[in-house]
Amino acid sequence: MHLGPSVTVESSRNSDRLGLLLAILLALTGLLGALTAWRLSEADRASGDAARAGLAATRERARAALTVEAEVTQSQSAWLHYELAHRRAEDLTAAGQSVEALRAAKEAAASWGFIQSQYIRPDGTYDVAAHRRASLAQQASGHDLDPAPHFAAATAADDEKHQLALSGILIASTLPLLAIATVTGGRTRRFAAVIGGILFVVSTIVMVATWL
Amino acid sequence: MTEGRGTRLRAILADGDPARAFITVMLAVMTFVTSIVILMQFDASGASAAAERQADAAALQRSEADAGGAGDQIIDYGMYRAWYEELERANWAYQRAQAVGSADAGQPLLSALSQTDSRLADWVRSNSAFLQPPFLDAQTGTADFIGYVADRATPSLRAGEQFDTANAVADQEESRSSLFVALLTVLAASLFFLGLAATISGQPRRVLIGAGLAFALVGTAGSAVLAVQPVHRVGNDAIEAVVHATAEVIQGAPNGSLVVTDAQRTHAEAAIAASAQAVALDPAYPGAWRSQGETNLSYATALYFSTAHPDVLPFVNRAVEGYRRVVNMVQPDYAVLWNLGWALYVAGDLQGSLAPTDAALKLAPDQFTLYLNRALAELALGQTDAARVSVETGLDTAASSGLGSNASFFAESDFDIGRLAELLPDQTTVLRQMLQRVREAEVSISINGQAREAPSAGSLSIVSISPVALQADGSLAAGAPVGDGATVPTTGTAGFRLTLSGTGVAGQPVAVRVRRDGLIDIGYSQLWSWPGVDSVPVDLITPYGRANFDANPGHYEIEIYLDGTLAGRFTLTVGPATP
Repeated sequence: MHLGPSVTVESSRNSDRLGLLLAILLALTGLLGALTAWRLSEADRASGDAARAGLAATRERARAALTVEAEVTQSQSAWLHYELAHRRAEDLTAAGQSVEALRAAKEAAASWGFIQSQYIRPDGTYDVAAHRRASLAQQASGHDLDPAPHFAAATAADDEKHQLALSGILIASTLPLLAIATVTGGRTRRFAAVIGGILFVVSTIVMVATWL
Repeated sequence: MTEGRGTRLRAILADGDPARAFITVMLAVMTFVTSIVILMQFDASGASAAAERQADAAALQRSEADAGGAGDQIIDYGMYRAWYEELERANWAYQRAQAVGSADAGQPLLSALSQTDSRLADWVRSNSAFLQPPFLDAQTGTADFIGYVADRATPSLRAGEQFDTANAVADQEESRSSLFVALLTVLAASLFFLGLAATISGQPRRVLIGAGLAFALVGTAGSAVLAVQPVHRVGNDAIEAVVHATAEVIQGAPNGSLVVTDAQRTHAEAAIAASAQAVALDPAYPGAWRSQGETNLSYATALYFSTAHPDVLPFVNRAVEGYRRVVNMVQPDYAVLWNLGWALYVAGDLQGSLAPTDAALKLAPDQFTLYLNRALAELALGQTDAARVSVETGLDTAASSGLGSNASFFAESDFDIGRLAELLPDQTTVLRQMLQRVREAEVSISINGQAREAPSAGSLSIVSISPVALQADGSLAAGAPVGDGATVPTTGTAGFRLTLSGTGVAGQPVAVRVRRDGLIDIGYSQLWSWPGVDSVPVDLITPYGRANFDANPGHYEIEIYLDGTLAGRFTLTVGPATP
């Protein structure tokens, strides 16, 4: 039942080739793991940078909101005083009370300079929403006031981290199989090597897909 | 059996050393496990950052809602003032026009003014959201200020709850991330021991394998347990229920009032129902339990101090349960501890109320009301001296923190102590002394920023008090002097005239305080220096009185302070309006 010399040599050569393949696969797995870790750290940095930018924009917007509100309130308050005095003047003029009407008109004039009159609608009412929008837009022209794009970028980076984590798990799962294949022989070795090899290929594809 | 299994194992091994093969496989398995734990740590860290971003967004919403709400309130209240002013102007002009008659040369102007002001009042009303239903009762012309405040506060309250809940998620994820880091350290030690075992043989190898396996087991099992533990996220329904409850509380819990109206009762009950709904929706939501505490305690407190003074124990017990749950679930802020202490006091657990009150004081040592709460519990426990020390400490704190300069800040404590003096007969004497100290301190702080003044060498007294009425020429006419405890009609009483007599008090500060139904009416408050005379008439009249409105009905306490010390007190009742 002893095998002939040629068969023993052939089996030994096959074993050496598989051992070499397993060693290469293990090295590639390590390389792939390192690449995944690098991409993860890059995605994490991108997420952190975006979140910090979003936080800065949030603070700036809160400051701008107070500034805008003060401006709108001041203008609307002046408009109320103006409108009352102005309407009083018109009413009294119509009633023939020109002396009192002039007094009211002078009161109206005192408030006029404090009104951003472009926000007075044709019917005489004050368009608060338009004033707020425009003032905020003006503030935004010099400062980053919108945290939403930054937070969206941070969320996208987090999504990439999740996908990289999945490929990382797949990559790591090849290690035990390749290790078993390395320390065993026969069918066990071949089975572990095949499954480990398949996992390696799949994890490589997932990682490349995530990267791209 | 052992021999057979070992033989089979050796047969499938490449070099026939089972221990080395085992170590190699374990190293690979633990590397795999460690990789997974690293990724879970990354995931938890990322989830924490995402929750923080949600909290930031909610904080921004709250800032914008607060800023916008404050702006709206400034304008809407300005519109209300303008509307009120135009109505009063129109009314005045109309009455003057009627009084002078059509033959008078000024009558056309008065009529024109009346019509103009009336039209302006209508115009203002049509342009204000506040001067529309549901905030304005068109029949009576009264505005629901508290309802308006609750309505405007709702977006901010919602954003605040969203901020709190997102922050709680961030905290949980951060905690998970930290625990994963700790477990990774354990797994790293496992890898080290196993790696070292591969390089040696014999007994030391077995020890190292055992240690490596033990660390591997702890690290893997700990990571598995942590991985399956859910992170609690509060649903929108529960948040909305809490927001609704808080908005109802604003409208349903009168502070410093002897009466709880039917409308307030309805709001308070709605608040309690909404908080109960929040608890039912999510029993793990600290905000829901806090809401249960707030809704029940505010209603219980209002009922407790009302003249009806019903049994409030069921409400207080629910409040205590709510606040205790919060304390057990999260690191509580001082407001929770403050309210828990107060709830326990009202529930009669005097000793139990001291611990949370003291804990709140540690977090907020500048809150003078907390010292008063502690004093109330100490007094009820019979520790009168300790209670007096707590009061004095609180008053000194009020003076040094700057809060004491706000008279209305004292008003609620003043009202509460005054009511307790009536409700707790066995403590009445000391409570009244405490009340006088609080009042003297408020006056003293307004004079020199200190909670107490050096006693004055002179003396001051109230000689007489008469109701005064506004005359057609704008002057005030005093009626006959009334005795202490007298009743005067509200009709025709615009204010009061005091005659004070002083000896040796020239140049010293004199303060007047008037309380109606136990609550200070700041419109009557005065502070001036005594002139170089023996007797001084003092007119107590608010801007409403000067506009010829009758004094509000109620029980009045008029107090005179010399140099921050009570010098005289007079009480009278202003009766209901004459039909």
